[in-house]
Amino acid sequence: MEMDTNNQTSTPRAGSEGISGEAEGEEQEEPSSSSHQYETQHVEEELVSFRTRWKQEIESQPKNREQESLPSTQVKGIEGEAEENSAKGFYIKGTELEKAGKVYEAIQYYRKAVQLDPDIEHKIDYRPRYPLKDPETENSEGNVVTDESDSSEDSEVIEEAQLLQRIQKKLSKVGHFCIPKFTQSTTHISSLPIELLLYILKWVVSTDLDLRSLELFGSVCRGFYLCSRDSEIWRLACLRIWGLNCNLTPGEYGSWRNMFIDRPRLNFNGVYISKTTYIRHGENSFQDQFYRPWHLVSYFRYLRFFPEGMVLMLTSSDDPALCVNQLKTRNARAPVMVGYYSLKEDKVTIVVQRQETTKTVQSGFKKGGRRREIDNSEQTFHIELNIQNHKNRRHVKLVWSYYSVLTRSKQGHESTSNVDLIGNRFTNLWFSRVKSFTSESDQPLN
Amino acid sequence: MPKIKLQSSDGETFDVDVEIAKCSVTIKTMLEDLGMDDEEEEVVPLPNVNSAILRKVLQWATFHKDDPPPPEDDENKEKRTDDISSWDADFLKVDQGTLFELILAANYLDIKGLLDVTCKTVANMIKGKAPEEIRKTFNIKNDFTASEEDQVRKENEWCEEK
Repeated sequence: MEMDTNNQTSTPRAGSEGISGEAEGEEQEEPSSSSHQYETQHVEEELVSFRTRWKQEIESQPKNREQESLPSTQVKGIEGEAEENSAKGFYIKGTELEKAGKVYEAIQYYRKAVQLDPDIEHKIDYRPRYPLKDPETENSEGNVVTDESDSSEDSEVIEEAQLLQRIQKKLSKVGHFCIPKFTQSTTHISSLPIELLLYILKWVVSTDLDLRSLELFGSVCRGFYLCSRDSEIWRLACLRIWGLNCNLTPGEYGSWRNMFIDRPRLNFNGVYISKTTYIRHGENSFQDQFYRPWHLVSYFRYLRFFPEGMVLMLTSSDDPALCVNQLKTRNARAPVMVGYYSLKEDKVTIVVQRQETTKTVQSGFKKGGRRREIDNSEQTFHIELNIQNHKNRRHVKLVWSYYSVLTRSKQGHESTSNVDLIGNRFTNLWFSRVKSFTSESDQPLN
Repeated sequence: MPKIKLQSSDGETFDVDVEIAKCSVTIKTMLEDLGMDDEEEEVVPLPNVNSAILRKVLQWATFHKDDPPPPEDDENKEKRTDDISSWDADFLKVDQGTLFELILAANYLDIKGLLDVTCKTVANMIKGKAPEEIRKTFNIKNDFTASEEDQVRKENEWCEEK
């Protein structure tokens, strides 16, 4: 660490701060006619002798010290200021010497500085004076460590925060959030003010909480990365899922984004699918007693969740490719069943009602012929599932924990049957993303 | 119908029905605050909008002048807003530069409907797209260093499919 700082200060400086700092030091050459004249003159003598030694030293390493041997600049300060400045000059030289390994000399100058101004240590501007390095070379060092010395205390914080800080810092220097790759004559996206870009991102995320698209957007360039980490967007997303169960702060999660990622929830940009297969044996053939058919029955169960608490359920023997389209929007039609769910910790409770299943059969040839209602009972399904992670994939697995069906006949008879979850009839539901679910935005996140 | 004159940044003036001009909240408040009389032949300068864009904006405003105000009640909030109407879709078949200028103009003039439909169009160009596609679409230089890119990838791992 010590070596590192050393290197940085001894590289040629392009920053003006380095030069002005020296100028303050040089100012000692001009005798100040203050009440501390005697003191100053005394100091002056020592300074002259130091200066000769120093210049020799500079000549021994001409490249590094070039900037500092600039002709002195006349600084016209008021007396008190002059004194402080000269103290600063001593102090800075002291630090310079210390860094060059000349500790003994350094102490002498520190002492002088403190004599002039006991508080000098606190008046020195510690801001790092880095040359404006080419960002490419800077990063080829392959470090994600923040380079600003005063933020080194934060070195324990997680890497994520470091990247954010680092990029924030880099962007604050350039003042634009993205640059065109090729010059273009028409208006570029970078001409939008940041508020408008964030508003567009709310459209991207939309009420369907497509945060995945936001993350992809954040991988485009540094400026977009910063926008994608806008805590307001993540806060609104959390609020949509957990509502009042969100506190005013993300609390233990550290950030709204972390809460969104880690806290048990459902995925919205696809469907949860389970495939159930079972064997049922059929009736013996009448003629051939040795023929005993077995039927392999397999069907899929689909669940699609929406952030505001709506859920669509469909059981079908059709392949996912054929079914997912029926689950694309909230206005689903039979055989898709519409219901609601609630989320508590990692438990999802679903109540789905079979929609008016009054299948009407038309008989007769004429239009509006006699209708016969076949099935007029109403079924309500109560399902409880546990949300689980699988390896790195979060909230992708739903495990059955309770299932009951309430049947209410037209006459008003009610019967509840708890479904036994033992056996392989109720396999876990697995999440798969459906691209078309997030291809278009309906409404901005709000 | 009373008219006012709007002047674009490049000096062109447009005669516009006051009612149409007033779909811009900026112009509406300007007229109200300044007490501009409808009869007066006042010219409203719009230094942030050039004539090409102002013409488009007015075209949009004219078509949508009879639109009902956006519903405020929460009940309708979850209702799917209709997809961009086919008229709007045609209207927005413009080059990207024009699209961004329309966003800027809609923002400056404070025309919510136009701002939404333009932002939505841009959002749909972003949704579901891989970073490289977005860079290509919007002509953006990737200014990440290799190590930064690695780090971003790590942070975004949660939404990757494996």
